[in-house]
Amino acid sequence: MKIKSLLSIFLKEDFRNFIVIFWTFVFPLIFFLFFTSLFGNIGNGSENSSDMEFRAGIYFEKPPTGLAKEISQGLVTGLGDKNSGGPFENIYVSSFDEGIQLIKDKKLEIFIVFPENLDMLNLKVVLSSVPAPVVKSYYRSDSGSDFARKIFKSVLDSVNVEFYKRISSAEYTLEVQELNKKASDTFSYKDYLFPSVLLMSILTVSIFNTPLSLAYSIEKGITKKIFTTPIRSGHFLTVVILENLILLGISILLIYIEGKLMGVSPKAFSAKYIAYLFMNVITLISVGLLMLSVFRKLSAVNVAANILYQLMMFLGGLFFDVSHTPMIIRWFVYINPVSYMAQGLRNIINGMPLGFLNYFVPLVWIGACIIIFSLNFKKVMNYE
Amino acid sequence: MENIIEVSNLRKYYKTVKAVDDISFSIAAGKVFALLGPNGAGKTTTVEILEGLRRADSGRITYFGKEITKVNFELKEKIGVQLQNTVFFESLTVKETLKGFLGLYEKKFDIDILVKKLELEEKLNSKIKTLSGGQKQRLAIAVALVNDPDIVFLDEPTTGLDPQARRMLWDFINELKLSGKTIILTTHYMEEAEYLSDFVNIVDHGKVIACGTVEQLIDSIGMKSIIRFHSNKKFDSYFKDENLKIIEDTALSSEKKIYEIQTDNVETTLSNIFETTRKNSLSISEIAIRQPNLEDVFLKLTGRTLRD
Repeated sequence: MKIKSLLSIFLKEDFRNFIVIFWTFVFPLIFFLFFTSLFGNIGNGSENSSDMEFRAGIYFEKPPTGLAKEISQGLVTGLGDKNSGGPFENIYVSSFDEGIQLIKDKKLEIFIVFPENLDMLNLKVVLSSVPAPVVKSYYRSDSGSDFARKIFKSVLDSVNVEFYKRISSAEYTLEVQELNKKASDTFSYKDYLFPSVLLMSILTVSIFNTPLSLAYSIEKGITKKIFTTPIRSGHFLTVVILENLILLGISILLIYIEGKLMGVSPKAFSAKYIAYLFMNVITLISVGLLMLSVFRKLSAVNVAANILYQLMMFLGGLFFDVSHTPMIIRWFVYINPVSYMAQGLRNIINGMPLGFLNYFVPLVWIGACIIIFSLNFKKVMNYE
Repeated sequence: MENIIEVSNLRKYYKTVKAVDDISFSIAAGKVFALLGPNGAGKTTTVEILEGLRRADSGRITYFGKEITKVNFELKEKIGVQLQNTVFFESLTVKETLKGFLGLYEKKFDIDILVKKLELEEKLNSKIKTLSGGQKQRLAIAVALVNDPDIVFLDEPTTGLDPQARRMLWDFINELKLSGKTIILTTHYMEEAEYLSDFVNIVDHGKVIACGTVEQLIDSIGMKSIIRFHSNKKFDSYFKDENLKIIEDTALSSEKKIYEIQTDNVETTLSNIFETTRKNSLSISEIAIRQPNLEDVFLKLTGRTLRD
């Protein structure tokens, strides 16, 4: 009853606070709608892909034969050929220089070069001294070209690895069919963005709302007044966590409704996805509490929350690939729980299993944060 | 009369600062007990220990005849606390705030009566951010009373209020006292302590420097009447009396000063003042005769005023 009364006070205050309403509920919805409207057709065959067109220049240094020809053709169409419903219009060029010039003239977004030694793929015999063929791509430094590169990148990387494996081991593992599937059927921008918007919303509540609302209550003396009543500090913390879980629950529900309306993959509605999402919520709320126990003062928490929010979001792979960031910042990608959460949520949507690290890293964060917060609890609450 | 709270040898140090330094007192049920002292004297720390917000380093506290080591939740049901600076949620209305706090207690008081007594009826549905300082202070007192407590802590309840609002709160506190509640009041306004208290502890630098009823404290310094006046010349150069004190140099004129003189014989002293004025062609104005008060007690004991 006491918890209910206190919770009711906190929630009423939240629901009348424009900043809380905007950043927790409205902004993620606008963000998802805006970006999906801009890029939602990319790679989705069921959408009108003619709205989003990229021109891909294709050049063979030497016309391939046999299996190499089959693989290269499969790759070209599989990467999202317009004829097979993809976003790319493939333009075959007759020379390397022509392709480079076309990309400089902005007549191509990406230029793919199949090497002269592509026919090596036809060899059955393992020759370790023979170099593996490498498919190269060229692009401009503008957003359209960069976007096309990102779509190609993962596929080309896998293909080059498979080419290498084909040459350096006897086992042939490349499946053209699989490439087709990856490029045109699996990639959906809205499915890619959906976990990002969910995690962004969780970050907003856990890194901003929770520690800031606690720091504000402590610094302004709201907790002091509450502690003159028969409310235990543990009750108070429970109320603040419940308050933020309720806000987050509403925010996630609204994002799910929007996601449903926009045709996000049904896998995002599975129990496994939601359970993993809940684990993410607990992890990030723990991180918020850890931040509070380290910084304590409202102004310091405010600055730390802003920095941590940006770092966790942008170096968590929410909006772009962070696996190739410079080593000087990549360490943060590796310790950032959001990196594993985003990857985990995307794995579930793509029908792939969750890896050990997708559970382990968030659980380590939960454990560490709760231990540190518990040790500092009395100091944090300014309670003697 | 039964003592509802007894405190002995209470100590609370913050590193090297002795916030509360061996304080002892007892508070009788149904009385107003005031802790009077300047800012930083240790009044708030003392009451916050009694409210359960801070832990004493040492000392003994007895509530309702029972020694306690910690103000537990059962005890918190019986006390009401108005903090020196109470901050509420700005977007909530007065009614929502009162109902919210009412829900935190087992024992509940009728908030309609409280609202009426504290003249907050018109503001019941107003958001807290729209309230004036006086209204917020009255709300803080109302919140302290939602559980109909036996003991009410009022920490500087009228600080920052205009005289009218202050007077209104004094009347309300007197009503509370008449209803049988025990009130622990901290203040640095001597008028407030004089008007409201049955018993006063004067605190300075964490120590109780004097205690008793207002009359006992005033009698203890042995002062009689005090004559206060303004003079536009160096009155003290002509009038030699060890009891004459310059209270204030006025800002407007470098020569104009406010003097006070203590005397057992008002008539003779006044006659001497007038005689000095006439002989030396001095000018005096705003002559007032007053009785000694708690400010004089503090001044006598510490050499400072309560505002220093």
